[in-house]
Amino acid sequence: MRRLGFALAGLLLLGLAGPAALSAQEKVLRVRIGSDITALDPAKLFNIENQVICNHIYNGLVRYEYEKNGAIVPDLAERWDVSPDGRTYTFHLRKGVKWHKGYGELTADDVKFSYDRVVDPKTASRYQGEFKLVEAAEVADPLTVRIRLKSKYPGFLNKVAAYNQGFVISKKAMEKLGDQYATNPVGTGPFVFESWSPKNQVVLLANKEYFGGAPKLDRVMFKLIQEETTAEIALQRGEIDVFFALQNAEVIDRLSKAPGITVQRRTANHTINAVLNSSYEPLGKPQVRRAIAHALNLKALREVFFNGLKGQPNWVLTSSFEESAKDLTEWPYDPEKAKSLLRESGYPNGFKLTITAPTLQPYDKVAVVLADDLRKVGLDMNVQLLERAAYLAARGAGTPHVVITGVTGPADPDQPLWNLLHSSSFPPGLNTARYKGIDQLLEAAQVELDRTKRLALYRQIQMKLREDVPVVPLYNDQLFAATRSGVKGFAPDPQFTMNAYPVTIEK
Amino acid sequence: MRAFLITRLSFLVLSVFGAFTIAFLVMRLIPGDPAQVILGDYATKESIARLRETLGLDRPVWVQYVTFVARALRGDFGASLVTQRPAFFEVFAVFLPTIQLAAAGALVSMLIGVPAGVLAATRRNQPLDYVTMTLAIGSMSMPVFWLGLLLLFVCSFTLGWTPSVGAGGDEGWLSTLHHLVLPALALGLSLGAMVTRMTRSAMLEVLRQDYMRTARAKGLRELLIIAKHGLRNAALPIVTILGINFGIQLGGTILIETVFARPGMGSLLISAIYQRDYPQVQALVVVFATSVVMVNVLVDVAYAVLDPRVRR
Repeated sequence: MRRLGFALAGLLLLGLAGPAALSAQEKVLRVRIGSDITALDPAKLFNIENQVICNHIYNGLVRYEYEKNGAIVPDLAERWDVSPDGRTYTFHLRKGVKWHKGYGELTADDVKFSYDRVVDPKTASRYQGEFKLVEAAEVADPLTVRIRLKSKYPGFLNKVAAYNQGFVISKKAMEKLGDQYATNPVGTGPFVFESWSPKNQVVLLANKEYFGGAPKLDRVMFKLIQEETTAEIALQRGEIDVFFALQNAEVIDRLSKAPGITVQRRTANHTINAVLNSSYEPLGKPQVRRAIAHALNLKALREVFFNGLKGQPNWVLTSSFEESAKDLTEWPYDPEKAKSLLRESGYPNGFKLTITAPTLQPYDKVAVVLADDLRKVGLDMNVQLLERAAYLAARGAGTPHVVITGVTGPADPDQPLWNLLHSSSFPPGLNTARYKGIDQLLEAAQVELDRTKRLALYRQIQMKLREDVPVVPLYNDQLFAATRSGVKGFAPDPQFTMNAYPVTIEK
Repeated sequence: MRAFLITRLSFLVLSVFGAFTIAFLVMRLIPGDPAQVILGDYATKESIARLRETLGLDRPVWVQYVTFVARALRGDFGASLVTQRPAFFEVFAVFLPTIQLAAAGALVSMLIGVPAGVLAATRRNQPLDYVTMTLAIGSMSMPVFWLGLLLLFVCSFTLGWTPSVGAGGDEGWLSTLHHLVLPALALGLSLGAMVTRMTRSAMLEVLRQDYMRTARAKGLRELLIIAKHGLRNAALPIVTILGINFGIQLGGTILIETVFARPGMGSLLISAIYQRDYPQVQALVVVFATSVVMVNVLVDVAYAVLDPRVRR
C-alpha cells in the first residue's frame, strides 16, 4: 500500500514541473472552442474548429471581407484578370510573402501544388469536387498562376477564397513533413502555428512579418471547453476572453444579462433541412411533400422550442445570401390543409414515415418535435436516432425516408443548392431526396455572368423549390459568440468561423 | 511471494488481452465506417474502397486482429486515423492529467471515507452515525457531473477560490494542484461515500472481536485501539474497494474531464469512438485496461503485505 502511494505521488509530481507562467505584458486572446481539432491540412478540414484555426494560419488567393460587407477582395493575389470567355483566371501574387518558420517566399508553384493536391485522388480530399470545373492550374511565372476552367464559371473566385480548399499551403513544407504536416501546418497568415496539446488547447503566435501588418495580439490560445455552462463560468471569471460557438439557449440568455459581457449574433450560411426521399413511394408525390410542409409548425419550432435563437431559412438560401428571395415565404402551418392534401393524394389514413437524425443536440430533439407535428395529421411516425458515424452511413446509403441534413459553405449560392439538390449530388452526396427539378436552372446560373440574370435564375430556383418541396428548410443557424469587456473588434462570420486578426485586447 | 507475483502478473496479461479483444470486436460490430467518416458525404465508392484498402479495413476481421496483435507485441499500435500520429503518442500526451485526477480522487475518497466510516462505526446507531450515512447515500446518489457543476458554481464562480477550466499544465505545479482541487473533490466525494460505507461495516465487524475487548481491558487509549487494532484489521476490505473504485474512477474521469474542461484519456476515448478511429480506441483500451489491472495487482500485493495468510 505504501509503495502504491509512492508510485502515485511520483506520477503526480512528474506532471507538476511545467514551463513558467506567461509573461504579464503579453497580449493573449483566449478563445473557447467546443470540440477539438483533428488536422490542419486544408484538403481535409471539415470541422468548424479546424476551419477556425486555419483561418488564422493560411491565406487564399482572395478572401471575403467579413469585417465590412463580405465582398471578395485580394488576399495572396494582388489582382486578377478574367479572359473574355470567362474560362481563364490569371492571378498576380503579392511579392515577398513569407512562409512561416523559414520556409522561404510564396511562389506560383505553391498555389499550383496546393490546388493540384486537392484534386489528386491519392490525397482523398473531401473537397475534390470543389475543383470539378478546373481543367488545369499553370505556373506562368514565379508570381503568376493561370487557372483554366472546363467551362465558364462566374462563381469561381469562391473556390479559391480563404476557406477550406482555397487555402494555399507551402509545397516545401508538405514535401518535407509528409504525414506530419497536418499537425505542423505552415502558412502565410497573420498567426503562426505554435502547438496543439490534444483535448486541451491550440496555441498560435503572432506573425510579425505578416504582409497585412503584424497582428495586435501576441498570442491566441484556443481552449477546448465542451460544456457550455463551464465555458460560461470561465468567461465570467476572466479565464477566457471569447466564448465562440455559443448554442445553449439558457447560457445565451444568462450571458446577455451578465455585466461586462457582450453577446453577438450573426446569421450563418447554414440551413437545417428535412430532406424528403422521393424514392419512398408516398414521398414521390409532390402533394404529399407539400402536405408535410403544411403540417410542420416551424414558427413554433423556432420561436418556442429554440426560444427565438434561430432564423428563417427561406428556401435553402439564408438571408445572408444576396440571392435569397426573402418574399418567397415557407408554406404556412395549416394541419387541415395538410390532411386534405393527404386525402387528395390517396393517403386518407396516412402512411408509415421515419425521420432519421444524429444523436446530437439539438437534431435529436428536433426530430421528435417534427414527428409530433406529423403524427397530428395522421401519419404513422417513427424517429430513428443514430450515433454520428452510423447516421453518416445511413445517409450515404440514401435509405432514410426523411433525414435531417445541414448545408453550409461560403457566400456562393451555388454551393448549398448544388450539394443538397443537384441530381449529381447523389450518390455520393446529400441529395437523398433524389431531386432533379433544378438541374438545368442551377447549371445555367453557374455560368451566367450577368448579375441581374443570375439573380433572376436563383429566384426561379427558389420558386421551383417552393413548388416541389424536395426538402423542407427548418431553420437557419445563427452564430453566437460572447466576449469579455476589453475585447474589441471581434466579429463572428457567416461561415461559422472567426478571425482574431482585427481583435485588440485591453486588460 | 514470487510465485504469487508471477500468477498475478500472468492474470494481468490475460485480462488486458481479453479487454482488448472485446474492444476490437465491438468497434467493428457497431455500424459506421472509418473511411466514410474520414472522407465525408461526397466520397465516391471508389475513394472509400481505396482508403479502406490503405487502412487494411478490407481484409477479414480475424486477419486484421492477428496483424494488429502481432504488431502490438512489437510495441507498434499503429497511427491514429485522424492525426496520423502514433496512437500511443496521443495517449501519453493526455495520460498524466487523467492519472493525476484518478489518484487525487482516490486520495480524497480515502481522506473523507475512512475517518467518516470509523466515526460512524464507533458511534453506531447514534445521531452522528445516521448523519454520516445519510450524507454518504446522498453523495453516492448524486451524479458526478452534477456534483462537479455544483462545486464549479459555488467554489469557482461564486467564491472565486479555484480556476474553472483546464489542468493548468503550462503554469507550474502549484497551478496544476490548484486546478486539481475541484475535480478531485467531485470525484472523491462520490467515491468516498462507498469507502465510508465499506469502512463502517468492516469496522463494525472488527469492533466485535475479542482482541478489541482485550485491548480495552489492557487500558489502552481508545484512539490507539481504533487505529492500531481496529483499522489495521479492517484494512483488507477497504483496500479492496479502493481497487474496484479505480476502475470506476477512470470511467468517472470522462465526465469530470468534460465538466472541468480538462485534457485527458476520457475525452480522447469519446472522440476516438465518434470518429471510428480504431487504432486510437485500441491503444486507449490497452492503456485503460492495463492501468486498472495494475492497480488491482497492487491491491493484491497490498493484501499480502497486510495479511500474511494471503501469501500462502
